[in-house]
Amino acid sequence: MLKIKKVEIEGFRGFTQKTSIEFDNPVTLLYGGNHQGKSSVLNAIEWCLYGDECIGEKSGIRERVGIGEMAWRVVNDNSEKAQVKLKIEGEQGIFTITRAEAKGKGKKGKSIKISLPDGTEKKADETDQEIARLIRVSFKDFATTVYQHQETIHDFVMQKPSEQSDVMDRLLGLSDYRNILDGIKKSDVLKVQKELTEEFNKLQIRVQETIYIRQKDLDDKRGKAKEKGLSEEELNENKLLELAKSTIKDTTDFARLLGLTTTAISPPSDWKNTESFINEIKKECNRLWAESPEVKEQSEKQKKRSEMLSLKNQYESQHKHFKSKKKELQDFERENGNKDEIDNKLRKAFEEIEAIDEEIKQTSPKAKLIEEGISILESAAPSDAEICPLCGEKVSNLLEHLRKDWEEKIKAQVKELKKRQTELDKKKTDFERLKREHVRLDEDTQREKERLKEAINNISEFLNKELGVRDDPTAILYIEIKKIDSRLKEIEDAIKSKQSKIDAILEKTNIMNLLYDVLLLKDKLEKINQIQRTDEYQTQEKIRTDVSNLVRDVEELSKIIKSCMLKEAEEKIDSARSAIDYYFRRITNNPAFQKFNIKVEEDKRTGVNFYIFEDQDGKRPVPVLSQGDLNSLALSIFLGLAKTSGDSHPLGFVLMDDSSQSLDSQQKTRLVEILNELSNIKNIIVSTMDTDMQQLLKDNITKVKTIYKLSDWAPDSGPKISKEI
Amino acid sequence: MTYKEKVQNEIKEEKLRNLWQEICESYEQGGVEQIKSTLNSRIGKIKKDYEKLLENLEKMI
Repeated sequence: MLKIKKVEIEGFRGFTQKTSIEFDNPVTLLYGGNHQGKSSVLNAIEWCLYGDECIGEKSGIRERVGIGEMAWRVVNDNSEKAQVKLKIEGEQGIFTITRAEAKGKGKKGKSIKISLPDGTEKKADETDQEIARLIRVSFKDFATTVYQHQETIHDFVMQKPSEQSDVMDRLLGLSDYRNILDGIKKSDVLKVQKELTEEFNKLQIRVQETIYIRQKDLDDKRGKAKEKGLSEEELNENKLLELAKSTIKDTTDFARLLGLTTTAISPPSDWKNTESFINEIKKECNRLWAESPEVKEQSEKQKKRSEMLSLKNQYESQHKHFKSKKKELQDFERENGNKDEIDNKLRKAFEEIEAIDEEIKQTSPKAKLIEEGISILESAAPSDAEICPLCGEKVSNLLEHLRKDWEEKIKAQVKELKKRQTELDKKKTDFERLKREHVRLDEDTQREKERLKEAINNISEFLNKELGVRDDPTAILYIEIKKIDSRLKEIEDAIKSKQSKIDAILEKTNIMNLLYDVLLLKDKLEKINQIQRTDEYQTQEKIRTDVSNLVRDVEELSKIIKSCMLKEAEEKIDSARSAIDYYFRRITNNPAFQKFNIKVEEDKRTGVNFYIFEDQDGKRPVPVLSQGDLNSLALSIFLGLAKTSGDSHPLGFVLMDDSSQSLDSQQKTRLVEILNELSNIKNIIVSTMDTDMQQLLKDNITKVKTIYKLSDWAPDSGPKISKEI
Repeated sequence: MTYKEKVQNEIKEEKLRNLWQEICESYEQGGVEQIKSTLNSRIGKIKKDYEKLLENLEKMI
């Protein structure tokens, strides 16, 4: 059996400085507080033996799953390189394994070498093979029978009973099966199969719906075709082509009837070209119709009639306007006189205004002269009271009196003149307004007259006939329109018979259209009904079969994986059953348990392993087990597996990491007793932070032991390690 | 015997053996997620081809 003699750690996880720990004695105790590097020592041994196998998901250890900051890092944060050197003693001598990893260099930064007892050294690819040959234990077996990880104990204690089967699988080293089943389950294989089936079902429904709709349309068109006189037997391509030929003949005959030549139209080569043929026939009929003499004349006459009506309306409207304006002028003149009379009135008003102006002008010098005369008299004769010669009253100052009297008279005279002048100005303004109004009315009347003349000229020009003042354009146009109407009636009668011929042709095209629709729907129905024979349909069926096969394969494979997982669990439990029973009852020392059994079966719902714990009566104790009992159970499974591997196991040591979680002092005592027994056949390396456990190990292990205390861990220096003998 | 060999020994069909090989390689390469990704890429291609076919069949209708 191989035994570890010494490990040298540098730059690995919690270690920065080069540190050596020796395992010369049957028992080695590593103790210290939390985060002091105890677990790192055990991890270093594991990593040196198995490298990347013990990292990440495939390790089966959950805390080692993660990326980036969450990753379980090998190289210490303050070191550039991790290196672990492990000295193992075998029957042939000392083997030294050295594993190293440089930070951030990937595969290139990783190295491994082994020195054999004879001094030879193996490197690179040879090393892994040499190590595998030496230790002969897979990582999974190592993790279940050599290294008791604290996580498995913790998980077993903390998980819900429903999740304990998962932890049991990991305790038994079956996590690879679990992980693979998980990866398969997470894939979309089953989901996609369901989606494809749904898509296909949708397509089937669409096909059925389309068949139903097309059949309904076909029945409808059939019915219409029969209404047009076609029998069921005639609903075929031959009939359609026959109708096409007949339509060409009808069109040619029609052209002949009109005295025109027809454009050559070929019958459709098959029913699929019906639409373009019908379009050609319709186009030709429209052309012939438009070019037929009667239709041409009808069109011209209708155009002429429309123009005449327009001229007639134009004339009548203009005539109405002219008459209205003329009446307005006449009414004005009757009231205010004609142009000459208004001019005369205006002239007279001017003359009267001039006369008054003259009178006012003459009044002023006369007044001035009188005033000057009075002033001379005033200066020549002193004023004494005298009798006024004008009014006969005795006044004190005659001249002053005369002046006032005179002024009053002049003012009254001027006022009267001014009043007359104002009246005459108003009159003059009124006459001027009347004159302007007359001019406007006269101009409007003249303009309307010009327009009326223009309308008459238009009619004259249109009719190509001179119209005199005595002619009534309305009546003349009315007669002309009547003549056109009469001719149009004659034309209409003449083309009626031709219209019926063209209608017959168009009716034939309608029947052809119906027949075409029937054939088209029949064709579409046939294609849909034959869809299952298409390559695409066959291929999709093949794809669905392929997917079903893949699903079947995946399910079959999952079944095999589950079966292997169950088988391996059964084998491991079978081999360790009595040891597990023994250890469990020994650690718990619970009198209720006279026998403890583990059974594994397939979970009916999920197909994965389901573990059942039973007491001597076949009852299930798990719901009532304490955390200490659960820890005892997990430890019993590990110890049971470790013991069962026994002497035949190539590795003569076990690593126990924080194994006393949740155990009471009695249970710890009994665990130490078991370890003491186990140390008879294997070296035991125990890591613990539990002070009771430390003391129990120190006091109760009867074999020679080495004790290391790990303390004062710091990021840049790692832990301080002191050795106690 | 490893889990890989144990399952391998139980497989009778060649086709399943290849699938198991593929799944194991994926697992060793990238764990659970890689298995999922390998199976999804296989089925994803089939799904794409299938949808294209259905599109063509839809046109025929």
